[in-house]
Amino acid sequence: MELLLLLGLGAFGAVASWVGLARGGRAGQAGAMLGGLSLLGMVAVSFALNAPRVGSGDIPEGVGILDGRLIPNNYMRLVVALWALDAALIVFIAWLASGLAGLRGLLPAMLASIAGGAVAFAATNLTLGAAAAGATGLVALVVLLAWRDPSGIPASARELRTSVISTVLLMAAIVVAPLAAGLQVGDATSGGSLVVADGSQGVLALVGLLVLAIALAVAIRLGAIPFHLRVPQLSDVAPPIALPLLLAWVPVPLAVVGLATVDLLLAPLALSLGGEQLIIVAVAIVTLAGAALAAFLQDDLRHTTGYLVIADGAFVLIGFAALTPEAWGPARTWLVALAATKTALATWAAVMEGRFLTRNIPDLRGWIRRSPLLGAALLLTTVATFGLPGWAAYQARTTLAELSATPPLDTVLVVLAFLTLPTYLRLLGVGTGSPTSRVDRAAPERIMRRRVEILPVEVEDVIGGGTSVAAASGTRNAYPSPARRVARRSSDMASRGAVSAGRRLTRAMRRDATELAAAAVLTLAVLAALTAWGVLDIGSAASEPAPITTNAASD
Amino acid sequence: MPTVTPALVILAVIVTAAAVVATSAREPRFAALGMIVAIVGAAYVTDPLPGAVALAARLAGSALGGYLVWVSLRGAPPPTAGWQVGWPGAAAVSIVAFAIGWLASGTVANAIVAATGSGPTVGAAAALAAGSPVPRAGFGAALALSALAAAPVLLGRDVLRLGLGLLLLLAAVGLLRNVMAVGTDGPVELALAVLTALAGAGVAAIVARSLTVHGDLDLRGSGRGDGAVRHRGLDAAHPRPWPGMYGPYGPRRRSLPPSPGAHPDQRRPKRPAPARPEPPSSPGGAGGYGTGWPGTR
Repeated sequence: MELLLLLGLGAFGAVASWVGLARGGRAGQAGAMLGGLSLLGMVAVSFALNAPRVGSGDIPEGVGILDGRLIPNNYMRLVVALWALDAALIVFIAWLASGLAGLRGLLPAMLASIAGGAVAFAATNLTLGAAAAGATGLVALVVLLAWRDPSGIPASARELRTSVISTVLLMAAIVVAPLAAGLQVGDATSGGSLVVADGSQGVLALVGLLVLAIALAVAIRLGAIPFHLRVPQLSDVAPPIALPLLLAWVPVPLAVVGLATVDLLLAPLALSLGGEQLIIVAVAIVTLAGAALAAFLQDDLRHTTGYLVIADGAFVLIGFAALTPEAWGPARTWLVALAATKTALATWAAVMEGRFLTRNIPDLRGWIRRSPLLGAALLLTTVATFGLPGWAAYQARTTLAELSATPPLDTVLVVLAFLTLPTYLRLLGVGTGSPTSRVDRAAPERIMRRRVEILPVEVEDVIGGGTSVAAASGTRNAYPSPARRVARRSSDMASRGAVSAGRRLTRAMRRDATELAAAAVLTLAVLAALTAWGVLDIGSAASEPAPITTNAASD
Repeated sequence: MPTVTPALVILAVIVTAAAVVATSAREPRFAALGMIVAIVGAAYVTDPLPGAVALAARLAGSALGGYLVWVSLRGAPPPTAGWQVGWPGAAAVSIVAFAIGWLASGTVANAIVAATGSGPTVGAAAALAAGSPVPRAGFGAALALSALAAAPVLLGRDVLRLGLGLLLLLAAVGLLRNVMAVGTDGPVELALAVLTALAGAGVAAIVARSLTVHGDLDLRGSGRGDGAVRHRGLDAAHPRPWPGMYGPYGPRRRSLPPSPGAHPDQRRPKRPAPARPEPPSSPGGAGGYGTGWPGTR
């Protein structure tokens, strides 16, 4: 029942916030409120979810919903909880930056994608999971078509094409895989006993094609080279605060279902598919190296973020190249670590862009001096991305490299994973330089809680005898730059007309939006670090056998 | 069900013909009609027929997705270029693909029979191995739909063609699932129906937005807005602000004036002004200066 409640909250919140925010005004406020409450409710329900360890055995009576087609499991519980927590923080940052207008499209897409992802993670049928993962990819349209922007149309068309093609490829592989398995069993059996270990050429070719089709579907969805052009174009058009959802979270359900397909239907055949493995590893290496290089050379912060996501996504492909059930756990661990760390990175980039009014990296020189909280967030995100020995993400990456390549090549893969480190160091190094004029003009990152500044002007005049106390003491003239004047005016306006505690709280939060946004980004980075560390035993939750007990052949 | 087998084979042919219409018709609504027939019919090309719940779910999902695309084309949008090979070319492609699928399914069936004869039963594609013509026709139709959808999906410069191609691809994978006889589970059919309906809604949303903003269905590819926007002193690192990017005191959102096609002048045309009399060219009475003016003859 908790799963039903979780899905119901997601669906209700998505519809309510979509309708309300599209109408605007009071309906927009109500829609945002309902959506936000639904999001918080999803966090609570996902933590409180009872997840029986079903594994690959028979489904007990009364477990799950839809006649056992959807069963909650530990991995789903943790991922949905993390996803909803990240979403709540991102929505909060978007509201701080742009009010209700910033939530239009974003909030319903977040809620719908979490609901779709929960269905995909809980599915006990591969086709059902693939359909849910494909539907999750369509939430990009909710974001891109939220505003009447001409550039949103081609971007939406690209996202629709990506979602449908990857879903169709995955579903085709799912429905054909049992045939390949049956043929392999028929080949290897004579009179009820096994006669050969390997399949015939036809079966080998068919299984190899299926593996490549699944890897292709996930590569298209992740934006691996040569399907990477979609990502910078998307990052140009989409609101930057929506990029964590579109780049980091939306591909996760499809990748999990693809891994389940390989783990359940193809890897157990234990066929020698060296050529196919080599192709997938080659694509992953090219993606790792090319995307890391592109990220380093880019001067556009959004493009840099996009390429960093692509580079880390290449390790998901290595999980497919392993072609063994042992890769199931590490690949799923890496997926959730990837989503958490890239969410922190993309949100950091969005807040940086809104803060300093530029996305040109050279213009951001000295940014750490103006916003140390954001600096700490990026540093923590960097640590979470690469991990430390013993951390779940680090172990997952090392295990995937060992499973998918022989000794010389697995070391190369591990080293290639660190190719993105110079980009992070560049971003941090740029921040320590002398501030540019654009950075210098930005509002300082500190909470302004001086009492004199929240007094109405009339009171100040009375106290100061015609001259404001603050002005007389010189504090008002201490911030001559336009951005500081804006911050001061905002703080003045925050106190006027605040008639209720809720409104006072809202205005206080809007007044300290700079600090609160930076703190929210830092919280996201902490969540990413905890995920990479392996908190809540996410490694063993990811290694649980897939609850897809009824494969496509037997449902 | 031997009695419905010929009907199902004919239905597979109709589905293929409808896909030809969807990809080659120049009239947008005619193309959408072909798509609706294709995706609704594709759910039923299966042997044996699924249960009532599964059939109803697939019908509802396909009809809803198709209807949304149909509704988005209200207001008589201009004809599109269609597929350049025209309907004869599309029909030829579909016939060849259908034949290849039919013949290839025979080979697959023989392989299944051979594997079954040497040991355990192959669970998948049981109807295909049993020699039923319905899965063969379904496989042919799936291949034909995929071949027809490939061009608009990969090379399409038209949002409607792209969307119709994607919906045909979804119908093709549904046909493939029917051929492999992987079951007609109610919740799974419901999920496929929801996916089809959502994909149709996505296509409809893009089509409607394109008609509203541009007044046509062309897919303009740059992704950074029109050229006029780029010429307004916006470099690659400083594109148009997204709403609220610079906070409440930032610059206003810049947008292009709507194109004429998006807001056609639908006012009733004015009555034509009466022709003014020609001024006299020479003085005099009748036949001369003042003829035809008040007070003259």
